[in-house]
Amino acid sequence: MNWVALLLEAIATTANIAAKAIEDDWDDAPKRVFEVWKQEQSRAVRAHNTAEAEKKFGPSDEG
Amino acid sequence: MNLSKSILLIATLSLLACGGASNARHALEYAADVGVEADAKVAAYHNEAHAVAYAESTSRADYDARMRSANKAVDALIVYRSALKSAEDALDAHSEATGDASWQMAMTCVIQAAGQLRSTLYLAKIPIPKAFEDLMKTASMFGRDCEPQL
Repeated sequence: MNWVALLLEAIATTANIAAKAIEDDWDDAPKRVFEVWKQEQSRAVRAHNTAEAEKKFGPSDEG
Repeated sequence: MNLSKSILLIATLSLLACGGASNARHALEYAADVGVEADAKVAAYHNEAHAVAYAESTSRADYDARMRSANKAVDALIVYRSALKSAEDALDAHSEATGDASWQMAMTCVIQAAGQLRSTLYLAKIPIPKAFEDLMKTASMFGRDCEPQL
């Protein structure tokens, strides 16, 4: 698919979907990023796992 | 992230190309939704990788090597979340009257961070949320750079 076809597809998609978006969810006020994504789960998991590894293998040379 | 939210994300990012600042906050909300989904996948992946590496590694260097892709995925998520927050800050400072385009540049950085996160998830063989595929397909058409506009 060339870029013209992609562009036309995007325009058509956008026109149709924007109407739906406004009709549905966009009636609500948008939430703040940190309201939606309150906790960094993977960051906490890494911290826990790294601490566990440090107890068994010692500190990392990678800093 | 359901189909309608994925579609909304595409629509929103497409509208952003036309300068719809008021849509940007909705785009950020959905982009954050995608991040939450990816965050859960990466956390599970990190735990699985850790369980194997912890049991089988013979040294810390060995453990670190086994955990490299999982740690990179976490780093990419941190960058992505930070890009979302930066874009939100730029929107907060945005003035319609002055036509400040800094938020548009910030949104481009969100798209770039999403692309980096997608690549990292792919390399780590972590399932990529469908919304990311849609996001990158649409974003690639606008081809801006994540740099300050002069």
